[in-house]
Amino acid sequence: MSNGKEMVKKKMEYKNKIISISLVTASCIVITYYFIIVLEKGTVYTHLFYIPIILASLWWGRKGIYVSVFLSILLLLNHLFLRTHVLWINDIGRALIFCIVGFVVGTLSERKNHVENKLKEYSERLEEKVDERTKEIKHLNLVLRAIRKVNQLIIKERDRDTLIQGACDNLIKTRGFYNAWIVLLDETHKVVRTAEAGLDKDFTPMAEQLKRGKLPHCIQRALKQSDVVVIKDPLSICTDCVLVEKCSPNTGAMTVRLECGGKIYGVLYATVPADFIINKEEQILFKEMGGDIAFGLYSIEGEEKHKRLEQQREKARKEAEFYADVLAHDVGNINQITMGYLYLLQIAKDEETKKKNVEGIKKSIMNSKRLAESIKTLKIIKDTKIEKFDLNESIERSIEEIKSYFNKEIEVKLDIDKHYYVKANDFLDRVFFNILENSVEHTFKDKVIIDIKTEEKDGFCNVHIHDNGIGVSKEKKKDILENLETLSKRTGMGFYLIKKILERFNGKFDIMDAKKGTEIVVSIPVMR
Amino acid sequence: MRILIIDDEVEILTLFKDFMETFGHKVEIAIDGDTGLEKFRNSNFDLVVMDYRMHGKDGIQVSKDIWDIDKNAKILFVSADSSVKKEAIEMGAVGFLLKPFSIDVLIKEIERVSKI
Repeated sequence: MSNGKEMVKKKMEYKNKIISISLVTASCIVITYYFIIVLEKGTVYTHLFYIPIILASLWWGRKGIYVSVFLSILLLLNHLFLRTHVLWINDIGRALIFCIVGFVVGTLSERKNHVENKLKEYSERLEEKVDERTKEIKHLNLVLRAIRKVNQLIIKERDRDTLIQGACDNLIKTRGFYNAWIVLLDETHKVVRTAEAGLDKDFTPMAEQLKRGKLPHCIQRALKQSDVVVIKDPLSICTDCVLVEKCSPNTGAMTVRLECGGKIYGVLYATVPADFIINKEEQILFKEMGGDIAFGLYSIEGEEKHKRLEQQREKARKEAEFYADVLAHDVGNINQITMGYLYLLQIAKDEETKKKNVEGIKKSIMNSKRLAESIKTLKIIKDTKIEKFDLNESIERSIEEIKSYFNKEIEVKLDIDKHYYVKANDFLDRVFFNILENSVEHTFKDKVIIDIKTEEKDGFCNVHIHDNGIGVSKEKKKDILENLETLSKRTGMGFYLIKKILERFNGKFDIMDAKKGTEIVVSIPVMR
Repeated sequence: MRILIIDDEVEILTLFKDFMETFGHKVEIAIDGDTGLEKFRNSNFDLVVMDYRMHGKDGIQVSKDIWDIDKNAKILFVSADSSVKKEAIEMGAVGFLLKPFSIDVLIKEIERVSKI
């Protein structure tokens, strides 16, 4: 529209100039002939001719010389027919001066116009440059604002997901970037987290691709270099990328790895107007932003590590306290029993009593050894290997061991429905031995009778061990099942060890409500 | 003396019972606090020898229950944990023995307590 108007305006201007020149020229001719013919004065007012000559030369440059030539011819014709009494040389001289003036003014005018045009062109280019820089500065300000917001986020945010999502959101909210996404990777470059802004559902194919472990070229390149990977024209370069359709022709992409403290946490990707992507400052700021996000992740990792160490220290402290309490209890009791037998041995008069007390001392020493083994078992059980383990043989071995351990009449009635293989290891023997030992110790009868029955249920083999002992009170049962750690500090680690070994096998134990004696059920996963 | 021993360690119970009977005391044993309380309610005892830390009701709870029945009951605590001695004495126990102790010490302590 403006071009059309401009054209019309120019045409009008041209037309007006033609009319003006024609009128001025005609006026000059009329005045000249008025003087020559009407007033019969030979004087030719050629001075007036300079008006159209100069005007024409000013307006049309050297083309304006036509007016000079026309007026020169007119002057010479005038001389030929009307001014014969004047010397030729006078009018020829005048005609020549017309042409020279027209040429000189026209040339100067053209040069002036040329300079003016050049100046105009420079001015326009300068304006364009100023516009460009203004846009760039505006964009850089937006990026700086985004960096500031990301930094604020880094200071207050202690959660990785929130941090990377917040960083992406800020990049988009400040309108510095079209879209942004962050991929966090582990040491093996496996994707562990992603966050995006500006793409929404369009990011799904990329998220799925990343989950499959396929990293796009820009990420692969960014992981290899510390500088920003700049892609000026993703449409023609990233043809195999699932996000290429989301790029418009004037979009560029930047990718930078998130690196801090020598560790690469992942990659930041963002698309920006292509005009800005070549700007070094833009790239530096983008890299800085990547560094800031990486620092945030580094800080979170540091805090988590610190927290973990604190937890480990607290756990170790509690464990040490637990062992100290348990040892104080168990060692105290074992030593007390040893002291008792030693005293009885000192005062014993007959050989049989002496032998009995020596056996008691031996048993105490064995208990002390078992206590040391129990502590060792607690330390190593979580790292032991689970294998296909013969349950029936484990039960039989434990029965044999308990019978030889106690100088007491023990009858074990076995009701084993089939041969079981369970997910366990050698430590299972320890579970059965401890339970059987507990049964024998708490049966104050001449004969200890223990019923052992097996059954399979829901993939577990349940081993019921039922004795004819004193039974277990409700309070004690509750303590064992719900408050075992605290209880163990007071009463020793027998059940605590059973629990920990069974936990390693993904098994458990329970104390049933029995009318007489104690019934304990051990459940262990069956292995087919 | 009539002595009631309360301890959740069976072997200690039987050993203590044997020693004390050797020295002419009449002894009853209980494997936990509830059994001990039941026996204390049903008989008269000159002294209760009790473990401080046991399954179910611990020594503190059982001693309170005993003093509810007989506020003059004499209780001698035994424990492998020395840190509880002060608490035991402050509660009103007549004595505290740290495990392991020799039988002579136990017997002397019983003699001392019998004179209180």
